[in-house]
Amino acid sequence: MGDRKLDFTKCVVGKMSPEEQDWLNVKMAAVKESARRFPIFFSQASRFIANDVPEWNTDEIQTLENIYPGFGSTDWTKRNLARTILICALDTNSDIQVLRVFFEIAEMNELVALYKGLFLLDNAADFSSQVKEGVRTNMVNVFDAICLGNPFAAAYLEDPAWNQLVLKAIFMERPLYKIQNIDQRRNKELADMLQDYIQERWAAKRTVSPEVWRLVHQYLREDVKQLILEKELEVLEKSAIETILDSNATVGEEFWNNIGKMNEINLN
Amino acid sequence: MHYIDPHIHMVSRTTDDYEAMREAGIVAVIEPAFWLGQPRTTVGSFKDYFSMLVGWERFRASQFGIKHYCTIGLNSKEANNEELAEQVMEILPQFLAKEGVVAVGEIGYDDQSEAEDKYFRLQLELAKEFELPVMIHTPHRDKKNGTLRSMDVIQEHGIPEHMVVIDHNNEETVKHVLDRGFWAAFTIYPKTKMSKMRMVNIVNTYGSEKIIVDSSADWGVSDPLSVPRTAAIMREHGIAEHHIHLTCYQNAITVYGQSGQFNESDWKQDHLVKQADLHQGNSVLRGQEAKEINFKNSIGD
Ligand SMILES: [Zn+2]
Repeated sequence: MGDRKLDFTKCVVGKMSPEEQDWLNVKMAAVKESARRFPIFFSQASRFIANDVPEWNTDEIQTLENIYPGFGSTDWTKRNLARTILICALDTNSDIQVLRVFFEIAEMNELVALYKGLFLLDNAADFSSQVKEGVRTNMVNVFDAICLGNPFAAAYLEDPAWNQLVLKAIFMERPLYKIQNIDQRRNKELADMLQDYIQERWAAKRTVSPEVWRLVHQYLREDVKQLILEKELEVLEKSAIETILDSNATVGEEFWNNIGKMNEINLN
Repeated sequence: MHYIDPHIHMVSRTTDDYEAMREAGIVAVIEPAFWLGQPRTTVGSFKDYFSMLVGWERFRASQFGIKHYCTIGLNSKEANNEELAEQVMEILPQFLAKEGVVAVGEIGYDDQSEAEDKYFRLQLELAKEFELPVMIHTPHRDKKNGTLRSMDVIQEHGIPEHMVVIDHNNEETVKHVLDRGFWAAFTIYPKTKMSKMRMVNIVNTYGSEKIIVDSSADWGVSDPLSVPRTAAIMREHGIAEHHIHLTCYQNAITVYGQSGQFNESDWKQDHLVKQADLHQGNSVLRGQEAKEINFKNSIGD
């Protein structure tokens, strides 16, 4: 087992009840022996592991954030944690084969757990085409599992696939500030696509999320600048746009995260 | 008033149906794996169909405030393609283990052929292994004999009667089914099979203790609102509220709850569905404005 898998497993097992630990230990050992029964064990976690979200203290969250950047920004149920541990128990030489077959028959909640867990695998990069396929899903909870608080996409998807993920997140009105490493992966092509999108939406008298400007920052085009001047802006939007218009402004993650959080409150 | 439709094929229904069903008080549905009208030719088609029942359809229902469960099985019609049936049997166990799979079904007889008998029995053994209830499809032709034979075989395999729902009953079969201790389900189609008034008479005669009402709505002429509509007619004809509660809600929970996968708390928690994120052809709402629906529990008719 790779360090990341081992560390994660150690952190997480303690949150299970004694009965759940017993069940997990037996199944982990069996999966290490042979992956044959893996699909059944993975499914049966729904019968043996509770679905509540465990409480973590600050130290634990810090440790988990080091292993899995973004861990703290979404809820991990005990069942998702247990299923992730089961994935980690798979042998690295065969995990791609086992999981590729299983992905095809996974139910909705299983897909969520699978996509959340992939980052921990030693050969995570081998799963990038699976994740690209996952981005095409229309099940919002499955998309969220890939998109929010999950370091996989930023680490392993190349720009075109990454840009598709972000675009789709915008269309599906997901909170962009929860996308792991969203600022590090900013690029001109994405900013251009988004500015076309803004023009299209504004022409149709529709609004765009104020979070979109986070990705346009430093790539703002003259034609869009012109449009902005003619437009009556909403409060959050105004604050975001004024920031990117001011070339002297240093804008940190915190500013954009706040825009995202406020926007989320407005939407709910 | 809340209802459950414990037999309905939602993959064939529209979002209008989902909206109307929730509006009429249906909070949970069970979708049995069945025949699609067009015979399947490869095991992959079965695999994708089962995956759809536990995947996309489950999600689609959730967008309308309805909890979606399913049963998994090889239907009797397609059991007659033995080469294919063998392959389907191999993939059944991994689906039976999944969350929200509440029974093996719908299985049983169609023509009552030898092949049908073979795969019926094999699947009864699977139900025992996975400790799941069984949903029995009784044949349209030679119904009475087919029903009796199904019960004989189930008892021969030692499956307790309280774990089995015999579906698509009529006046000719119901007494036998109840006398032998099984659950008796009735499919209320708009015209054929059971009409709503006949259901009133059944409950008047046999009570509600082991009777279940369903729509079996699918790709044919059928009514996804059969359960709430039948409840309304029963009410109109003076059937007591507790009978309606049992036949149109509670009995389904009692029998399928034995799977450990069908709990009232799953849908009792909240009825607020956020239809966010469903814009632009990216989801079921396709271009409509996302909305939050706070469902009132009213009855359709
Ligand atoms: Zn049916």
